[in-house]
Amino acid sequence: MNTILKTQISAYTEKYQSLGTTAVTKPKQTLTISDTKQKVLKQAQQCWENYSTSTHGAAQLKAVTTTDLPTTQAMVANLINSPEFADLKATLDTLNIPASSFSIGLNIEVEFIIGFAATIGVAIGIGDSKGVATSEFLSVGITEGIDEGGLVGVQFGIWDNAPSDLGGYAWSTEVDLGFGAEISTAVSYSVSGGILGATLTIGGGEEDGIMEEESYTFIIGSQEGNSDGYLRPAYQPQKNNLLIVTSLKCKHPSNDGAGNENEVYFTFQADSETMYYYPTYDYYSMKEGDTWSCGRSIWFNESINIKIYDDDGLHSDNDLMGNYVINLSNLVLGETKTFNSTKDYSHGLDNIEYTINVKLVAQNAQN
Amino acid sequence: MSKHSIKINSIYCTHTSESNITDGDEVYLVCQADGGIPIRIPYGINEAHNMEKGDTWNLTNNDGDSLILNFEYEVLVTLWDHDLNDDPNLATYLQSHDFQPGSGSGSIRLKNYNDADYTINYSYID
Repeated sequence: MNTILKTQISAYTEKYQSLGTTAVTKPKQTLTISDTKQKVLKQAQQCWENYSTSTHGAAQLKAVTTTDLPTTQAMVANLINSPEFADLKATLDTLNIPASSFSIGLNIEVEFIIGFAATIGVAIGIGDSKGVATSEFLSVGITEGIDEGGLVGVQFGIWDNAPSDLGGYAWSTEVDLGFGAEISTAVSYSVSGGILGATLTIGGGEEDGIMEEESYTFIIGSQEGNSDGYLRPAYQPQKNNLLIVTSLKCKHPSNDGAGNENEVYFTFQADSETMYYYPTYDYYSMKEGDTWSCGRSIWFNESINIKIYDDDGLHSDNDLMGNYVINLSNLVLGETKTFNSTKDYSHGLDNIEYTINVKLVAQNAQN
Repeated sequence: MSKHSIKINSIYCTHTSESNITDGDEVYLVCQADGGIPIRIPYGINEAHNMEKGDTWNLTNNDGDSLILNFEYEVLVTLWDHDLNDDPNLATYLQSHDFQPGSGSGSIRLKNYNDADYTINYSYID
């Protein structure tokens, strides 16, 4: 399983779990999929077969096993522009319907004690929303029987909502349209019982009986701006060694013109993999001589790169106040070591200096 | 593989953050043992515990039992002020403390320049 993608998805599964259970109202409308929607889904199925068996399609799908979430999102957003999807795109462009959406999403299964199914997707406006609206989303739900996890298939959806309105809880019930083995079609409805749309899922295994699934959709980004934002991961997959950044000391702050304190946060990246923030959001204010006992544990195999920033709300590299490279070979189990920035970020009268204290607490933990 | 346990008994508020702006802090904890899956207390994405100056929050887990955190190397407890529903990007970091193996009972006082002043009372179980 792709650990970078898995870690990034973990931020959403955590939030989904903390949402708790929701009361469901079964839809009053009959669960059927209209002929128009069936035709669109059938065409999507054909386009997907052409794409996934093409040389470049197979290569792109294989790459999902190594890329991160933003790269996967960009790849999904571009799918509709592949030559194999030209016919479908032409059909969608001519649909004469109210503001609606068509979505393409890759289905990923991950396991965090229990199994989750996630769909990384993009929704484009069709009908009255054509050309004016898109959104990127991530849906998560609980699933059973994960074998190894990873990319398991694709989901196409045709929705009654505009792309930015696809967020929130949804329930789906399988509806058999005889599309064939390994393909399931379903109607999705909201917790208030209104029909949201129809989906076609290719891959992911067959299950007996009528499948009913709950999911929650996060809008990661949309043209209309009403998104849930990009959630930052905190969960770290276990590696061989564990250190704790026990404290961070401000020997001299950067003078950003906003008082005599810095709004400090840092990023850390172990073995050039997922980048994390601490605090996960926001910052901790520090003045000259202050020590922040941050206590951030980090799993790593060989090395960790830590960057300290001053948060002025712009998140540009200009706010970088320190860069620290920690190699396993620099550390001794149970001992605390002080690290200085590998580069001097002082300029003019600004003698910026931060040091960090690091303690190695576990070595070869997986052996 | 958890080898150690600590009970977080209570949190005492000596002073809230952002004095005079809001009616107390909407406090919640995120507890992360050994870098694993974080647990939010109280459970539920928009749940928090309102605290004002002089308040004590006696902590329980999501089943109403004592809040006991199991860990092998360390458990990081972060205090947050919940400002706005549904968007963690707007939560305010109050402070944090990393508990490593130890014994006995004690307290940790955590302050920031935004006037937040909280004390965590804990007891090591093993």
